[in-house]
Amino acid sequence: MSARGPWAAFWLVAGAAALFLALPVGAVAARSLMGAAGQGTGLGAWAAAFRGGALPEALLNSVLAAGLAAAIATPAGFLLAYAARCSRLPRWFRAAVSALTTLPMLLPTITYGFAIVYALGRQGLVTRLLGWQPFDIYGLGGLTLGYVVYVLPIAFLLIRNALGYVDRRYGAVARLMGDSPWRAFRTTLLRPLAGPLAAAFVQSFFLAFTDFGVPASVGGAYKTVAGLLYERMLGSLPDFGVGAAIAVCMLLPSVLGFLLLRRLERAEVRYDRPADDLPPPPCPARDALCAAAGLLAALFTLTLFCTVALVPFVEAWPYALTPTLRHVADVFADPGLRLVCANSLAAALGTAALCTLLAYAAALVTVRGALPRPAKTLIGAAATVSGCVPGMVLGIAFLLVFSGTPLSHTLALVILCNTFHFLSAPYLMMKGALEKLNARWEATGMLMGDTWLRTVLRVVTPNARDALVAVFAYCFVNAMVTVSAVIFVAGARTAVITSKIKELQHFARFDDIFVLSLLILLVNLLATALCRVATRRAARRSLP
Amino acid sequence: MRNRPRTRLLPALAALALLAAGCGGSDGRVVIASNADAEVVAALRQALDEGGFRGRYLIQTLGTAELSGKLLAEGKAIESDIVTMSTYALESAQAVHPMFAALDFGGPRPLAGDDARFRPLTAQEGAIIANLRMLEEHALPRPKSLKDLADPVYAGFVSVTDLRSSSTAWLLMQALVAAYGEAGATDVLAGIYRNAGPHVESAGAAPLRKVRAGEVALGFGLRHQALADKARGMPIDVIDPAEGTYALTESLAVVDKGPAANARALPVARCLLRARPALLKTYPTPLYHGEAAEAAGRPALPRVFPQPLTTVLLAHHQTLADEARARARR
Repeated sequence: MSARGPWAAFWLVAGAAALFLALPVGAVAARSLMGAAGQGTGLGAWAAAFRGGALPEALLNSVLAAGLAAAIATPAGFLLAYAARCSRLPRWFRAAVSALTTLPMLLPTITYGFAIVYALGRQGLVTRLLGWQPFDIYGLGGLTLGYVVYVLPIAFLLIRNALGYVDRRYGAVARLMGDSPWRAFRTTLLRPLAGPLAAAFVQSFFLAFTDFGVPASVGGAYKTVAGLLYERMLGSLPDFGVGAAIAVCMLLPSVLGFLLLRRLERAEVRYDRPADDLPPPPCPARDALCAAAGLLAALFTLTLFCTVALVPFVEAWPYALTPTLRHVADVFADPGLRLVCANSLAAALGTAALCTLLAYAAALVTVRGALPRPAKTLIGAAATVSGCVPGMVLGIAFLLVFSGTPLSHTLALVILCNTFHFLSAPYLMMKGALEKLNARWEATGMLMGDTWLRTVLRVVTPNARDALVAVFAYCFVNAMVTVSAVIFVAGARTAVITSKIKELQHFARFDDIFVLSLLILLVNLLATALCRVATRRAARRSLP
Repeated sequence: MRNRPRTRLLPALAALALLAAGCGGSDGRVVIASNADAEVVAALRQALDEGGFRGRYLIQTLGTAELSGKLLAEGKAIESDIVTMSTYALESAQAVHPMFAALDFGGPRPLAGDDARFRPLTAQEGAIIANLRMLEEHALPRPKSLKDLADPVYAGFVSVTDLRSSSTAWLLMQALVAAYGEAGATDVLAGIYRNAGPHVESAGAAPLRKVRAGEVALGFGLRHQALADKARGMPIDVIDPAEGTYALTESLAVVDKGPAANARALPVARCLLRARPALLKTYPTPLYHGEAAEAAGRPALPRVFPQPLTTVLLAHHQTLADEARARARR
């Protein structure tokens, strides 16, 4: 059996990861050994990072808050994905659940924190409507809430994608054999989903753990490690050495996450061909639960979203509520806006293409390539670890390595930086989908004289089409909203919309931030709608 | 078979995007990186446009943290030809990578600072910001000094920034140290932190945002930003503290790129200083010999910290602030 195809995919991913992930992250890690304030060498930076006990405390705080958020987002994401894919609720309702659950993903994270303050704060929309403040938004409570808003869409997407590849016929068979509904649910749905559920948990955890935007606005006195990293690495007296030491500590959870996912791989259940034409059996209790979950999520998202949509159209929230288009006019008066928008679109399209390609190649290697185990482990580890590198660290790492090379200040570098910033979620999405597909296709294809690559192109790819489109859309949308890494890499001529947002944040012009967020939302809605049309048209064409 | 073109599309698209993105290099324009506020940037643009540089420059605005990150990581390889930001931050970047050129083009003489590499552009001042509606609603007295902010009557109603992450907090720290000495300043600051509770912020603009949103009643932030809010008709007022109003200067510097330098960088830098009269309106502190600011916009008690504002002093003040924070938690 020739293994040229899998090896080609391996070298593609390994080469790219070595150059654009290992090298930059290695450069940062090396900084941590150059001592504090970049002077000399030694463990000075590590000693400074651990002095005063702030770091261990912040690490524990972050693990707790991010763990809590992941523990809420994973079951909630499962329930909502289940409502969207496996209930007998009306089609429009299920579509609305999908759309509203993923809506926060289409907005830059900076906006959530403010949306929470503007909705649930002392003078917030909800507080004013209710007449009292539901709960104190600062500290662990607000932080967890913000994280859940941030990570729920990705947990939902990972699980919903995987659900699409679970064969419903097994459920029908289980019921025919007289299994209780709970037992049938457990053996034919929960067990095959163990991998994707764990992936959703791990991914949610990573996202929350490395996020800086939410703690900055609602963290209060609750110190997170991302906040500490920001303060030491880029605070009023920036120190890359200490920052690097903290960043290295932040990589530890990714190792644990990777090991957890590895353990669960053994329990994978595979299917010949996903059958989603089988309607779920009638079950009013299940549908009622799904409807309640859907309504609750919709209400929650809409509350936050209404705030974002309302604030920029009044003079000055919350004291001058006269409607105005002044903030919109202000934003569009900027002569540089067109270039910035064009840059953003180019960067997002490029990122989506490259990231989908790499995530697919990486998932093919780890799930469907007949390669030695260490090779697979290496690729899986690279793709997973990328999720635990905070964006800010990756951005600075790119500067350290690529500054002064022909790549610096180009959109190409922006695309590469984004790609490795997001890679882990798309990889997990692709992996979840590919794991569910029959493992014997490649062998069959080879017996029939096809190369591995041809089997992948002719058989695997069409069957993984939905996941590919979903990953493409995910990367596009993320590239449109990301701030943390890209802010360092984008140059004066290659600035993107979110660098504009960051700048407005610096000037405290939050009305304008919300206007730009709405603009980004519009682009993202359009992009996801296009992807959905593409999926549907392709589905119609490829019906047997 | 039908799906083959689409699977080829992805790599093709990726390659194309990378190629297209690789193009578009230098076009001779002078790149100015700045963390200055919108009014400053508008004044700089106007000065350059009127000075004949229209279309020959590009201003890239960044947050303070991002800009210092870029300076430290890139050194001379930074894309910009000119940088404007806090003088102390420029000095600290210069200490890590010698990267700025001497500005030997004459022009007006600065009142303070003798480093030929930096020319001051603005002076950022701090002030107590009050949300009048909140003060009234919660029957809170109007504070007169920074020390008043430590009064337990304001518990939960104050927002300030942390000196580790924001240089705006340094304006507060300078005022406290100058008025009460280091031990006294730490005491007052601990009281303020205790009152601020969850509202000790990392970003300089955050206290103003919280005051504006009615999350708190009082904050410490940049004076001119609060004055702008007041001018927009918000129920916001600026209180100049009895301890005095301190300032941090922002300067411009030209990156020393050797033979690769843009020949227009120095002329553009010189032209930028023509924005001073316009800047004096928003930041009413004279910085050069022969300048005068209108009395109307000036703070009640402008003060200058007795020691030079170096990074060493900032690091020392940070340890005092850390001590205050630790004490506030106990």
